[in-house]
Amino acid sequence: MNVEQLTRELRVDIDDAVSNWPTTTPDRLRRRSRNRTTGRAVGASLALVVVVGSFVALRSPHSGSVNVAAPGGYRVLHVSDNGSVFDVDANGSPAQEIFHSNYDPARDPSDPGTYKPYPRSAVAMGHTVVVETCCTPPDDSALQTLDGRNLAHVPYTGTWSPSPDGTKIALAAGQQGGDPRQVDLVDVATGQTRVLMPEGTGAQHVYWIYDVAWNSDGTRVTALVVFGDSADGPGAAMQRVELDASTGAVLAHTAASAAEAQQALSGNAGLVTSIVAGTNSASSQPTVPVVLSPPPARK
Amino acid sequence: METRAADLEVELPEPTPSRVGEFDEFFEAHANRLRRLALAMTGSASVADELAQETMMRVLRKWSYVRTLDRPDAWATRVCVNLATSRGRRLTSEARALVRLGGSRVPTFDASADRITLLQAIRKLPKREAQAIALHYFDDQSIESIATTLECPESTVKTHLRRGRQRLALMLGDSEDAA
Repeated sequence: MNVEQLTRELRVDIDDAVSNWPTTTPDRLRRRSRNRTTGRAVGASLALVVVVGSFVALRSPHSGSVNVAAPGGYRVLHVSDNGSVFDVDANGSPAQEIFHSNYDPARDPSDPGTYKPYPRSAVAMGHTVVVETCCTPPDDSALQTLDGRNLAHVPYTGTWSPSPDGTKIALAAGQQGGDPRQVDLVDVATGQTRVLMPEGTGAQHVYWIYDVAWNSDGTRVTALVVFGDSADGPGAAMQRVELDASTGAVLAHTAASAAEAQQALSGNAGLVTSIVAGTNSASSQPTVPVVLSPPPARK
Repeated sequence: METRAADLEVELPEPTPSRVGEFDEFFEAHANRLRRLALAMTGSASVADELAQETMMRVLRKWSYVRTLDRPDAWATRVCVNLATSRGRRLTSEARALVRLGGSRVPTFDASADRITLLQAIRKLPKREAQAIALHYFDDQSIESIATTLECPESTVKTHLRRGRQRLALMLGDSEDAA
């Protein structure tokens, strides 16, 4: 298969396809832009309530909404706009800097969002700090240790979830800068990582791991996985894969519920442990196959 | 996903008629080019269409600035390729695209198995190599133009292209190009 030749042929195919796509007009784009502005204002208000609520819940020893009983508990950290991470004082204000981002806000003043890290969350557990950011370049995410000695760079880290006893983190990650298609287990104390579900497991191609979660006793990890070549390609489907947390053996493989799919695709995966893992919860809620059908042919 | 203060945009004033015309011309000239580029980088018609629209919306919001640039098209192209290789934003675009799949008029893309394999291989490339390959082969850009778009030296672009070609050849079993 000659790459140059194949590329030329693909170019022709793409040109033909794009010229036949339905057109969008500038006026329609303007309307959409205005609608999104309104929607974002509402969404931002809701997000603020959720973020503040989560912060209070995670810091409160009496909170019932946190399903993690980590030794010493969580510490929610502050992530600045440029991706630096700070410890917080008793008032929740930024205190000591524990991770310094080299991002320069002056990098591209015309469109800061193009290169700027998008801080999502940072949680300290023992020695390990998970910092989830999104930036281009150089990395989308990083898994750091507090003392800085064991700087474990994980390219393209996806969503993550701590074990109930707080000793491990299940992490959707990619290899060599690829998309998150495997599940890793990170030891919180040592930072050591082992692969629980390797990329390429089973006959189906993993397109993306949207979320991971633990069951209540920490024996199983459930991954919410989209199988297929793309999210909307032929045969693409979102499924729950239950893994033995010790061996990585696949214990169950079922269709994701509609609610799970909706939650994952809403972009909240990772911030909210949306999967209710464990056999009890799985059997108590009806699951329906969520098949992401290919787009219908244009008439 | 958290919403940052910077994401909160104020309502834009209605553009003046002359600016409306300028943007419309820009849109007509570059909309399909951005779609083609996004399709080459994502392999998904619906996602590519969404990304191209997202790029044009950003151009629209910043049109008063973008129109003053020497190469507004390079600015738009840079936004598009960054969107296409950014995990978080691609995820958002995929979610939007999936929602839109309920409609009857959605973009489609069909190709032979080996060409689909090539698209999948491009997506597996490191980001900069994928961007360089897409700009060179699917947007007809010169080395100099790619360097402007990606804001890097021309020698770096050549390296990205060479390595990208080698990687693609290895993935596709093309021993001649791989060498």
